[in-house]
Amino acid sequence: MISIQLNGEPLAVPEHASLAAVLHERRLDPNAFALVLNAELVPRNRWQHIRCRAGDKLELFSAVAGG
Amino acid sequence: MLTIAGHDFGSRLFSGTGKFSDAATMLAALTASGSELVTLAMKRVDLARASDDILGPLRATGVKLLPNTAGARTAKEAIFAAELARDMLGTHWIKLEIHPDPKYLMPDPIETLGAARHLCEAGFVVLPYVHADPVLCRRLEEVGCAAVMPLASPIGSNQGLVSEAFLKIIIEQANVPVVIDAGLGAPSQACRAMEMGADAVLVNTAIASSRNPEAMARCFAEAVRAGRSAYLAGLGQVNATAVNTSPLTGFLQAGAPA
Repeated sequence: MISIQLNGEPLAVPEHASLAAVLHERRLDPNAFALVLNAELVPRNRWQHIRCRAGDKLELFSAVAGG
Repeated sequence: MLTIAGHDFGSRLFSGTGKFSDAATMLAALTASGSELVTLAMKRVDLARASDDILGPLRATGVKLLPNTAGARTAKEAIFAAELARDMLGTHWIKLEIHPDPKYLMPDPIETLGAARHLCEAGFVVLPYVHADPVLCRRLEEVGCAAVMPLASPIGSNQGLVSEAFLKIIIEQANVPVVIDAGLGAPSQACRAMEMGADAVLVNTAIASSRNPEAMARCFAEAVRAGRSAYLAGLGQVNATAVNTSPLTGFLQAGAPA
């Protein structure tokens, strides 16, 4: 296992886990989020292919009510 | 029919989704408004707190989504927010808003113009929220914005058409649709904006903070329709003195008994 951060919270994930796998593990609907890895937007068609590394900072953004 | 970037809109009332007490009230008001373009914001998720899923129900209504860049204080942040929204919502449309000042939420013209140029070049359909500045609106048009969204008064203030004189100049000069955004507090103000020749208005707070948002949304829809029809019919000229509507032939005096 390695340690990453998910929206500021520490999270232990299997080594080489993909970004998609992290979301799946947390039961997060992939269609409901945009994903930022270490301050870079990761297009959703790459979530399967990018593997987590220790210390990664993963941030999820969502659409909310607004004017 | 209003067309923005090739997309036709049957309703000239656009709506925001903020400040409603709950998702059901928001959806009822949006339906009553007849709006075909509604705004959303992007936000970092708080995983510890559950929140209403508004996206699913909104998508089900078939309205076009217009994500905004609210919260951005610089062009760089706004561009990032636009890219997040495009990835997540699958739309190139973006309401560009950059307001670093939390008290009046005045849009920053320098950052907005810079971000607009970048986003237009990157293929976004950009609708910038700006002060009622005719020069800035022309500059935004020149860099490729699909519409301009000048403010009537500060966001959420319900003060109405404070910037009316400048909005008129923007409407006169614009070659892209003018959507009057922010501060419209009453249907009569939305009607007035449309009478002036605005192409559309965007309303959020006045509907959401009403005692009955669904009914108020309907009132705004009617006001916008009436204002647009009045504009097309052509308002009469304003005169400084009275102009008689009945013949002033003096026959009453002529025929009066001696």
